[in-house]
Amino acid sequence: MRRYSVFAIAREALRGHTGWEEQWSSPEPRAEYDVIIVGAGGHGLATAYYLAKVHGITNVAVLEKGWLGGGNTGRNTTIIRSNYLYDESAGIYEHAVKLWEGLSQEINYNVMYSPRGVMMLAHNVHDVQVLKRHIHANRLNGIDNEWLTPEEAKEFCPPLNISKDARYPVVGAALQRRGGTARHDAVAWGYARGASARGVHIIQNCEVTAINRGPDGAVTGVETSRGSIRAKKVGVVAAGHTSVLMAMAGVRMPLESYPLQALVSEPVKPCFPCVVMSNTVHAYISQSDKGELVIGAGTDQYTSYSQTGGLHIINHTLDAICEMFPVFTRMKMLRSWGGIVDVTPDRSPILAKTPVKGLYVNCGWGTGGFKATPGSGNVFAHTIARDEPHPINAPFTLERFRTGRLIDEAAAAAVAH
Amino acid sequence: MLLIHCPYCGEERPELEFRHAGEAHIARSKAITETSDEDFEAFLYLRANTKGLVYERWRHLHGCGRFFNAVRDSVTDRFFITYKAGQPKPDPSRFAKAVAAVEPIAIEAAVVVSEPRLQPAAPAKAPRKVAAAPEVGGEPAGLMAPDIMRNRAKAKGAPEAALAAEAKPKRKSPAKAKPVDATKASPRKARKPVEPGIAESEAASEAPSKRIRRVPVKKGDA
Repeated sequence: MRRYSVFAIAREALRGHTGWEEQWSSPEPRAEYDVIIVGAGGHGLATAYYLAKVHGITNVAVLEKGWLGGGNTGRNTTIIRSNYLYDESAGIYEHAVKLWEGLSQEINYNVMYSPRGVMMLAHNVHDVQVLKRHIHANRLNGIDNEWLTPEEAKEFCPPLNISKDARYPVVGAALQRRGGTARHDAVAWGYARGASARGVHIIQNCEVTAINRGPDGAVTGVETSRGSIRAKKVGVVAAGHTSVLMAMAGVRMPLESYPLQALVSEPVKPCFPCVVMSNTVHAYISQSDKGELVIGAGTDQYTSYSQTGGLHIINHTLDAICEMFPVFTRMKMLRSWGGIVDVTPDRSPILAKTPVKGLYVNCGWGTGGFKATPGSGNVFAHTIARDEPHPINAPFTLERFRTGRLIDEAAAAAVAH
Repeated sequence: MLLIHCPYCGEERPELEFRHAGEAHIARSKAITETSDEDFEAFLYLRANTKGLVYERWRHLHGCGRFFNAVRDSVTDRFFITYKAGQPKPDPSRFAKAVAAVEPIAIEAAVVVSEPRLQPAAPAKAPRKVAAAPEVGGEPAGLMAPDIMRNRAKAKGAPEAALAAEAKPKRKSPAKAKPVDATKASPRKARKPVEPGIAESEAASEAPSKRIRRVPVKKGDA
């Protein structure tokens, strides 16, 4: 892998840009690998990258039925934050934020991480209590989070409407300054490039159709649309399709897959300096570096694999946006789309070993997995390499739904996130 | 937005009136004290989350307020049948044909949409035997949105009848439809719950440009 640098740009400028190499290779699959990762999204590619980089396991294949980063990695609203209530969540999301901070240098790829601040609005007494509780919990965990008055919130985000006459007036806000956004595609591409350079095979257009198990029940490999591939360890990182894949190994999952929609406006000049979220009117918004307003909210109510949802959900989201930011009422929306998110009963992820020997699963990120990409890959690689969880992901087991030791961020936030 | 047939009220109503209430036919144990942790886990949390035929509960919250069950294809979001709570689970084999038929038909519908662009003079394919939407309800087709027409067509008979109509093979060999691969027929379009009757009837009665707009296909992320 040739490093990207200012010198590389100068050199290529002199050579007419003929020397840029492919960012990752597309090899034919081998008959056997040490580890197979199913799903080449951000989490899967990050897992492969850290397997190779940290644990020295380079005989790894990442299998992807479509194209790299074409699932939820390419469909999310790119928000990064770690202001979660519970210690377990704070641990894993903060681990990710710390990795985000040095990620561009680490993988020599500009992921455009922009800690522009994530502001969560309070509209009523309950919101104030919940957000202040979050602030205190976060600070005890060493995570920055601070309380803003409506005037301070307006100063931080000038388009915000803090009028007392609003249907849901803003009565305060919690601000995590280290939160922000990153370029979602670049995250997948950067990890793919880094992993490929270390010998990982990234195999696109290769759908896993079965998970093979030996007489002792342990995983022996997978059947794919490009033939059968052997491996003693298989990591499933397939987001919305996790239930489908795990069913191939006979494991029932505590997951339901819902469509989650997002949309972007026409591109405009920089006018929106941060990320704003509101759980009560339920919408979140930021502005991409391209100038589009990136808008998202909750899932559709029914389970589906259709990668599309109802227009009334988007309508409702835009109602909320126009309520908070009247300045945007005349913006034109350019595109909307849907992804399929796998939601657990407690809205916390599962990164764990499974009852099947050699089968590992990283799923259940629901509507907010992008922010965790580096941290998730990092600890999941540890779990696969050592066959035991990292202390950070040890609480995120499959068994917690049997023991009752849930990490109930759903109840903590009273909203899917 | 889905249009859902409430088996108690006996009519199709917009999704806004309903609340999805999770997987159907999950029985609560009758001997709670003897239920193991594993069984509680399965009862409370483990879900089939099937890609394809799903059995699910809905509640007509802003209507009669009652719970009922539905069978839907989670790939196309098309309902096959709704039935009252307490009625036995319909056998999946009843819907197998309809599920299998979805894909080739949808591809064909996409072909019908894109063909006129390539060859404006080519006549539309021969009309099928599915109840043609414009004949339903006595309203001129042009005034109704495609999905309303579609659901009127369904609502005309009992859901059973609509199901039977859907389940009937639309052409002799659905597999044949696949190779007719117009450049515009992307796989994503093919997944959409395009009702064959609609595309067909419009194809027969409207200008090509209109036809393209009216097929209820939403675009995904480019």
